[in-house]
Amino acid sequence: MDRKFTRREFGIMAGVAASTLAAPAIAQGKPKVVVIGGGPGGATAARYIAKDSKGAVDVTLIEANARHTTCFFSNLYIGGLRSFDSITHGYDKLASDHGINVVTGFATSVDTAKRIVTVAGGQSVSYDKLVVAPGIDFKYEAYEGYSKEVAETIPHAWQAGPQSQILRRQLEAMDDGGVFLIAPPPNPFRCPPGPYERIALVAQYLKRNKPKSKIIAVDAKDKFSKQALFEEGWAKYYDGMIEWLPLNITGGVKAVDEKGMTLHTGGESFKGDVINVIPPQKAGAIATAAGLANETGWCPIDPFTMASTRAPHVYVLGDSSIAAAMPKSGFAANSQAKACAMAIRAELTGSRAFEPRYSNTCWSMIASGDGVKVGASYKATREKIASTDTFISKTGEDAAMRTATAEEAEGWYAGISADIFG
Amino acid sequence: MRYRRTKTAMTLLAGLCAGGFLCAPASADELYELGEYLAGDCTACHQLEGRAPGIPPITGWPVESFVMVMTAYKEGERDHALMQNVASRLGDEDMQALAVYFGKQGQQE
Ligand SMILES: Cc1cc2nc3c(=O)[nH]c(=O)nc-3n(C[C@H](O)[C@H](O)[C@H](O)COP(=O)(O)OP(=O)(O)OC[C@H]3O[C@@H](n4cnc5c(N)ncnc54)[C@H](O)[C@@H]3O)c2cc1C
Ligand code: HEC
Repeated sequence: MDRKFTRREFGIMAGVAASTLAAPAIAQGKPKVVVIGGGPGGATAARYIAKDSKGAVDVTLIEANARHTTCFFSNLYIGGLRSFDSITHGYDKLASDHGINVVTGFATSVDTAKRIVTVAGGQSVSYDKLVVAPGIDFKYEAYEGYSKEVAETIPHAWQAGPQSQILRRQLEAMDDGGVFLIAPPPNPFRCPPGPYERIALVAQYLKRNKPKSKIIAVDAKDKFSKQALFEEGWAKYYDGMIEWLPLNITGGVKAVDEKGMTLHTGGESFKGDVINVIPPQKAGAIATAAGLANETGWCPIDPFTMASTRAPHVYVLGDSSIAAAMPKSGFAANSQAKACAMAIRAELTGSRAFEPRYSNTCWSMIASGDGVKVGASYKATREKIASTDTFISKTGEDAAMRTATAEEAEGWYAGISADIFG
Repeated sequence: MRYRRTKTAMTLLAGLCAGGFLCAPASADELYELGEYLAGDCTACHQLEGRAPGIPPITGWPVESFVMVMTAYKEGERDHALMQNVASRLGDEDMQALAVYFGKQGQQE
């Protein structure tokens, strides 16, 4: 009994993505895979397709920037615990170790009928299979007065890189006694525990350096991920410094006043010396432009392969996708990429495909040497990616356990970085 | 869906001789490929080369010990919520496949 799918079976499984295997482009030579986006989703997919097909597939990675600063651990940079360099990675190993063609440029359009991606500057690249993993974009218009330009003074720092550096510099420049105002976004968004980890690590920085300062969080939600763990930690380490205001108290941010350094809600207004607005989110612009997003602003996928349900020969990974029970995390994007890489190789080269497995673990730092985690296993069903088994750190854990968890997070960062970038 | 996992599992195990050594080459191939895919679930944390704090290396172990440790996590005899969760999603043939794959990685280093 062979575990290998016949191409027909795979076709049924992948829905729209499968019908035209004997595409002319494949007949002419090596099959071509193009990947848009070199984050945890895209870079992992490119690396695994190239690595495991051992040269049988031609892989091109189109990434806007020469280097990628990971969002994960960017809160540690903002809190002064990590250098910017230590969370920034190049793509040289993907090219040298696996023969991936790395194109540094912004993909501006996708023609899913002709199977061509156009890059800013005019270069076009054709594909047999396309992986789209551009991460998120922001709904700036949700808050009056907020925009990409205003984000230069009132950063979101929710795409790591220059935005994280702006926020770090502002915190360093803030006077003791200042107010750090943060506006966590509504669901669904990238990294559900992220805003609360940021609050903790900024609090640690302020407590050590500017202890009279305050943090006010004007949330767009009434509850949040790992809430009990964060609230316990905030009270333990930063008692009296943090004020978290749920949606039902303020009504949420309505407008951003850049000149007045103020956030307006339905009722009260809040002034900040440093303001961090994390706006509502949607799939990366290129995914929307390619017609891969539905009315929710995110991209529906086949749970078994991550194939788009809206365009043939296209797959969507990571934050842009609707992965149901899986959160928008780097870990999840990396996990999805491996299932997708296997499915793409099977279609293009006839290699074996096994039942996909998905998993996630998200660590958060509450203070230096105090880490917590939440994680889960998932399986693909016809309807969605469903969670099968979960775990979470407990309140009241002893210091040794928390130190071990914090150390695991460090080990994970090293491991997943190597898994993504080589 | 046509994964036929149970039947395949039986075929795989039938291809294994005592002590976890492979005797049927066709199965060996398939087992290795299964291991190669499943290993991706582990290399998000465990590095194939290089070391980091907090996450132990898992390459180059004898097949039996590897399976024994994974089974201990799965059955809750070894305590660690995260690794218990990882092991909970693995069947017998998955563990064999991972043991063979990571065992070989060690030899190559
Ligand atoms: C503060 C913070 C903390 C976090 N902490 C964790 C954590 O501890 N653990 C965890 O697992 N996750 C964490 N996350 C979430 C994680 O970073 C994201 O879920 C992950 O980055 C998603 O990966 P992705 O590949 O989908 O998108 P991205 O990482 O955004 O990568 C997309 C890439 O595509 C490129 N791109 C976009 N559009 C184009 C285009 N048109 N042409 C070319 N290139 C393009 C971008 O430049 C980028 O490099 C955190 C996020 C934040 C903000
Ligand atoms: C999310 C991170 C993570 C993932 C994913 C993960 N592990 Fe682990 N693993 C750990 C940690 C942390 C430990 C240490 C646990 C302990 O102290 O018992 C560990 C321990 C182990 C051990 C015991 C090592 C020893 O020296 O005793 C083995 C074997 C192992 N893992 C195998 C695997 C396999 C196989 C997979 C994939 C199916 C996997 N792990 C996935 C984090 C992970």
